[in-house]
This record gives sequence, C-alpha cells and structure tokens, in this order.
Amino acid sequence: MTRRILSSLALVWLLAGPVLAEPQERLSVDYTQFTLPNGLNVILHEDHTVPVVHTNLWYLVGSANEKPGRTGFAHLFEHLMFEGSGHVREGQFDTLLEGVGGNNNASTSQDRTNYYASVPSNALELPLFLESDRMGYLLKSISPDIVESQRDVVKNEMRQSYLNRPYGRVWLEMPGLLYPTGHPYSWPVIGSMEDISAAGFQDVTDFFRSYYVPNNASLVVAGDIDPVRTRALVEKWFSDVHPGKPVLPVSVPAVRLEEVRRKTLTDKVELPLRVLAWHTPAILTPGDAEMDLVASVLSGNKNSRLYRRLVHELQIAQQVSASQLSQRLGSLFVIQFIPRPGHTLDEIQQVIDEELALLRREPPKRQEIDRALNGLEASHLKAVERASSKADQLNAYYMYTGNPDYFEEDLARYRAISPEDLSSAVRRFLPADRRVELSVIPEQEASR
Amino acid sequence: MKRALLALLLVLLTMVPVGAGIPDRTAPPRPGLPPDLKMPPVLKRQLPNGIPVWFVQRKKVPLVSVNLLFRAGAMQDPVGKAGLASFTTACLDEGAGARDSLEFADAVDMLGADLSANCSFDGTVVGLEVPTARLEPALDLMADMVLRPRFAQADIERLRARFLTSFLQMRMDPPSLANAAFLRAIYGEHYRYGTSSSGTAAQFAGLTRQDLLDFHRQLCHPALASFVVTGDVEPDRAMKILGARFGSWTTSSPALSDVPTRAVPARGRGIFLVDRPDSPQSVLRVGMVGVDRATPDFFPLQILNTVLGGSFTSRLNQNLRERNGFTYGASSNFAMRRAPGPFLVSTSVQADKTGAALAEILSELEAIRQPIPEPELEKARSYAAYSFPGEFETCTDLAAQVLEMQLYGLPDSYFSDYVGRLLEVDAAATARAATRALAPEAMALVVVGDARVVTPQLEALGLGPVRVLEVEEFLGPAIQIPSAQP
Repeated sequence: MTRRILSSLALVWLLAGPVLAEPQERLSVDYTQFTLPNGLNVILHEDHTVPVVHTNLWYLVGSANEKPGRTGFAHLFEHLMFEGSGHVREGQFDTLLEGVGGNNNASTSQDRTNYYASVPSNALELPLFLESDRMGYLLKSISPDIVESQRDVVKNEMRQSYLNRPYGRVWLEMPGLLYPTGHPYSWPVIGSMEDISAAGFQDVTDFFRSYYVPNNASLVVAGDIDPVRTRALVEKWFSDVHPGKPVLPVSVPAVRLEEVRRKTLTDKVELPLRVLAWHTPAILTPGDAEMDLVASVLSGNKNSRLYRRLVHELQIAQQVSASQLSQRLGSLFVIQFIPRPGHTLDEIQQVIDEELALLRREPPKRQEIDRALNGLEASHLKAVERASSKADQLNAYYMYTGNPDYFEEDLARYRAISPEDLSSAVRRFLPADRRVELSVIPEQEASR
Repeated sequence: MKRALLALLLVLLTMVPVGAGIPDRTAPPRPGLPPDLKMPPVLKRQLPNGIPVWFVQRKKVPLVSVNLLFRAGAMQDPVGKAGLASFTTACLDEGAGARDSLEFADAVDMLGADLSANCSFDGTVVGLEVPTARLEPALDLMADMVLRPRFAQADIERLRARFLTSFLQMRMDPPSLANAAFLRAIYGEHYRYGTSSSGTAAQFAGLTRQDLLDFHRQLCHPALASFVVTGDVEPDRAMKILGARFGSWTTSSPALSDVPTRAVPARGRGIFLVDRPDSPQSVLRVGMVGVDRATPDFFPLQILNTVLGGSFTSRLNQNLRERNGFTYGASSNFAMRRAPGPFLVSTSVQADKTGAALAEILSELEAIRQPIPEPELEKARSYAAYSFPGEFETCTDLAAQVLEMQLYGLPDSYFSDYVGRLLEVDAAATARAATRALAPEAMALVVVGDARVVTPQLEALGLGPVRVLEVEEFLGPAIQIPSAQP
C-alpha cells in the first residue's frame, strides 16, 4: 500500500547508448492535456503496441488526510469505491469490467489514492462510465451494510499483510517512532484495528464530499486510443460530475529527530531483523535523488558496499537493503538487515556504521555511481514498455510537479549528481546519532 | 402561452450542452467489436549445430530479450539430491569465464543488463534483457555463464549458507509452511513434486561440487537447448551474434533424460493441521493432484478456473471475501506441468472462521462440478479470451509466451487459435473437465494456524480425523548453518 512509484521510468533512455559515452536522447512522453469545467485534469497518451486501453485516476487524498481516531479510513474508503455507485449495482463494477476482458485495482498511500483499469480498446467507454459514476454518484448507493462487509475484508487484509507475516509489525510501529503525535505520517496507512472498527457511515459521506471531487483528481487515459474520440468520451462521461470545494493540500512543519529512538518487538521469527530509519528530503525536492543513489551505492547490487561486505565477504548477514522511500511531506531512508544464524544485529550495525562513516568522509568512486545509475535504469527499464505504468507516472509527475512529462527533468536530477554530492548527502541526512533503530527479535530469545 | 414557452424553454435547456451532453447512465455503454487479435508471427531459425532460435521482433523500445531454455529442471534432480537443479542454476553467475563472482556481477551491471538463471520442475531458463546496442558484450557474459561457470568451492559454500538460512526462515513463514505441507500431503515423499523445486535443507546440505559439475554438464547441453529472442533486434544480426557464441557448441557427453511420468497414488481425503499458536489467521490450502500441460481439457479448465477462483468475481473470492468477509482474498489454480501438477485453492482466513471457510470452499468445489449457468460462463469466456492480447505488451511478456510454446511443444497455431478455443468452451465442456479433474471427496485440506482455536472447528466439520503435522515431517530436520570461511 505504500509502494514507491515515483522516479520509476526516470533513467530509462540513458541505456539507449553506450555507458556514459555520448549525449543521451531526450526522454519525453507525448501527451495531450485539458481541464473540464468541473476542474478534472485529463491527460491522454497514445501507445498502440497492443489493443488495450488503461485508465488511471489519482485522487490527491491518502492516509495523511485522516482525522485522529479514524486512521486507516482512506484505505477503507478505497475498498468502498468498488461496491457500486448511483447507476452501478453492488458487484457490477468488477463484473462489467471482467465481462469485456478487463482488469482493475487501486492502491492507497499516505499522499494519494489511485484507481486503474485496463480493457481491450473496444471497451474504452466502460471504465469511463464506471469511474465517472463513482466520482459523481457514490453516495447514492453506499449503505452501512457495505461499510460493514468491507470493514471485515480490510481487517483481514491487516491480519494477512502485517499481523500474520514475519516482521510484519515493523511497518505498523515505524510511523509512530519517526513522527510526532498528530503528524499526518505518524500512523500507518492500514490504520489500527480499533479505528477501522470505529469508522461509520457519516465518515464515508464527509470523506467523499471533501476529497472525491473532480477538482482534486487527475485522469490519464493511455494506450490504444484515438485522442480526439477519447477526449469527447471523457467530456461526455465526466461532464455531469459536480465540482467540490477546493481541497487544501496537507502541510506540516519539517520534522527532525533529536536522538536515537530505539524499540524492540518480538515476533514468531527464526532470525532477528533491524531497521534503521532517517528523515530525508521530500519527493522530487533537492536531496531526494541523491538519497536514491546512496541507497544503490549501499545495497543496489552485488558490488554495492553493504551487500558486498556483509553478505558476500563477511557472510554475517542474510539480507541487507537500503532504500529512499519518497513521500510528499518528507521522505524516509531505511536500511534493513537480517543476520545469519550465530551473528547479531549489533555486529552488523557496527559494519553499517563504519561504511556510513566512510561515505561521509570520502566520496564514492565515479564507477560506483555509474553502476548505481545503471542499476536504477535496469530495474525501471521494463516499466517504460508498459502503457499502464506510463499512465501512473504521468499522473504522479502532474500531481507532484504540475508537468506530466517530467521524465527528462527527473532524469536530469540523477545525471547532475557528483560523488561529493553523495558524501555530503550522507553527512547531512544520515547522522548516526539521530535516527530510529527498530528491532524484531525471535519470541524464543525474548523469553530466555 | 406560458405552457408553450415553458416547453420551448425545456427543449432549449435539454439542448444546451453540458460538456458534451449529459450522459445516459441508465445502462452501461456496450463495447464495440473486439479488436483484431493480431498475434505476432514467430520466426523460426536454427544455429549451425541445430539449436533452434525463435524470434518475435518488436521495435518499440531499444531493448532485446534473449532466453536460453533447457528442457530439464528440478524434475531431473537425482533421488536424495532434491535441490540440485536449483543450486546448479543459482551458481551459474557466481563466477564464470575470466571473471570471479563480483567481477561477473559488475560486468553485467555496467551494461545495464538483467542476466539470471532460474529453474522450474520442467525447464531451466537463462534470461538476458539488455539495450540492443549492448547485446554483444552481454551475450559474451551469457555464454560464459552457460558454458564456462567456475563452481568455485568458496562460492558454493557461500551460496549454500544463504540457501540453508532461507530454509530456516521458511519454517516460520505461514504461507511457505502451508505450501510445503500441502505438496507433501498430495504427492508424498517419493514423488518429486512432493518437495519444493529448491529441495530440502537436509538434501541441500549434502550436495557436493562434483554433483554440481556433473549436473551442469548434463543440463546445459545443446541437445536440450533452444533460444527465444524478442524485441528490437534484426534476426539476421542476432543469428550472427548467437552463432559466434553458441553455434559450434557440441558435446559427446549425454544430456539429462526425460523422467518417465509415474501415476501418483491416490490418497483420499486428509485433513492436516500445522500448529502455529496465536496466529490471527489460518492459512488454508485445499486441493489434489491436478492435470498435466498436455491435458485435452486445457481450455475448458481455463474457463472453469476463471469461474471458480481465477478472477476477482470468481465464486471463491465472492463467497469468502465479498459475501462473508472471512478473508482479504481467495483463489484457485491448476499448475499444469509435464506431469500432473497440483490443483489448489489458497486463502488466509481469520482464525475463528477457519471451519466455516473450509465448509464454503468444499461446497464451491462441489458446485463447480455442476453445469455453469450461461451468463457466468459468458463472463468467464470474455475475461479469459479478451485479456489475452494484453499478455504480449513487453519483450519479457512475448518471451514468456514463446518459451511456453517451446517448453511444452505447443502447435504453431497456438496463439492464433487461443482466443477462439476459449470462446467455444460451453457448459458441457467445463462439466466434463470438472468431473475428470476434481474430486472434492479426495482432496487434502491443510491448515496452518492456532490449534487451540482451529481444532474444535475442524472437528465440528465432521470431515474425518485431523492429523497434526510437525514441521519436520514435511520440511525435514532444521540444519545448522556452517559458519563462513571468508
């Protein structure tokens, strides 16, 4: 639910030429854009590789918009969006789409909720009808019974994804350790069982009227489309959706940890795990791309510093991974590790601290950055082949920068980074004495 | 007058466009005719030594995917050495040709390539995806990996310790426990499918360097090899580049031979419980030995499974998730392999609904053997058939489709016939297929959950005795991890 989706696709075209030898092609994705009178932003992109069309609709609302006592509500609401609307009976949303050979889903993060569908191009009008109907007329069909049944489903999602999964509680605990009480990121997107139980029908109405309005949304239609006809269809289906009040973006003062905050959980696991976490710059702001590259230099491939030393050479870790989790109100950088049997968390953490100290002192070699760039490229390469992922990226760029075709600018951020930039980013953003250290230890060890 | 004016006003009002006019929402828009399903042509060539090379050219992105398939895998693991194919495959990029493990990885990463090897029960694929401009150096690395892997003892031991640690972690992971217990329950200990393709810790611990060398020589063998090349590359150019690296590859040593398929003895119903105290959910697996890839019921079973548990609106998901709220999701699947693979229903349900959920699953498995009503069938046919073109979007998608053709010897007309074959499936065909493939009364039921909460529910179902399994019974003993000798 908190998938990292930005900065994907970014480095794709670097790969088209030899390694860092010639000027790269400009990366650009063609689109047309217009705004409906009700405020809905619309972006169209043609890609005729296969006869499939994708709709991708972002609402700029996520768990950060939740009220105290209603954590998890944005995600519960996402579930309700599939249960029928004014002109679509309960159960028909999925039935209609599957009946034409379509697929659909949605995801909720702190910052946004996205809804997406893929259909054969002859059925383009169907997802437009369904999306516009739930945007305009959801409240005409939603009932307390529907809320009840999806509440049970969401509780089981929480059990399956967090409570009955090894180490799953880490991501329920982490937000409270990183952010002060009341901060919009201080609870997990899935929320708490208690709050999910407490959510009522009035909450549904309020939330829908406040956030599920065309002026808080952006629709991408991508794939095997005729832009002129598609524009007319979008205008047709969304024209009767009424605008809502303007939605003010969530804003908060910057947060800062002043010490090392430690916590230890127990779980049914064979080996312990620890996550180190720091506050880092927000998505697409200065420092964000640097931290992405730092993550790659640390653990992005076999020759990366932490992987090579801990897993390959010393062989004291089973797993080590670093990543920059980019978010709108401020990102986090995490390093997560599991020791081999017979080795300890502290033993591994000591090596990690040595490596971070070294990076603070001395810039990495140019080759490490090139390798990291290539690694980022490789992992994102497949995405540019997929119209559905381009659709989501166009929305992401539009919502976060105002420019759907931000591909080249995003790429340029990484190209501009020097070895010294990385050193300085580690000095500034990854201090050893201001971070979270969250550990999970096996139950059997805790009871010893 | 007033009335006439009002009428005129109303006419005018309805003519005023709001956007492009107020849409008629009384019925969902009907789709037009399905798009022309132009399946990409597969071009078939061969290298001088006879190795087939199949192409699907696609010029959208300057990327090429090269896959080298060997028609053998974990099914060929020798008795007592389960996991040998997996271990051999995993060692291929741990140093090859002139490069040690780290040097090899660096060379691959600097090309921006993805290069890796994986094996299943039926086949082993060394897969490469790389920008077209760097195809040649990337294929040099691929050739090293396949023809000249080092299998250095230190690398073998390092990898062995990683695998053994993973086996250890698996013992605490509920879905992994459920899968392993289920496969053992339906296939037993002596049929290869009764153990995961990566084997068991105990057998893995005993594999030697000589085992790996011997297996590699027989697995990576020209007689078992074929290529699938997709993406932005001219076939003539690719043939030259491949020919220079693999075209004169011959060997006098024997290749792995096909494992004769044996019938799996029927076991009858069994109810198995793996106790995991305090689990908030029970992980469930219900199923039996299913069908092989060559089954004449392939298309009817696709439709049947779509209705049963292969889509969001499937009966299992609607029942357990939408109607009852027992779970986040439920699904079913036929794993079709060279020999009959498992059919299984998978879900995780809240602990206090374990018995109720199993009863619903069994009732759906009974019901699916009855003729499927036409509207439900129609939806499933359309879903399965018309989502097919979306499976051909990327180089990797294309390669996966063509690899399946190669591995299972599917006819040239497979792609072009696919949609039509699905659309002609009727209720009689699914009922026939269900009768042949599914016998709910003979299925294994596996539960990984809290015995205290679950046992009374299982007993109340009255399905038969509940057998409590210890993890050792299906995963073998836990193995000490040898400490590193860096």
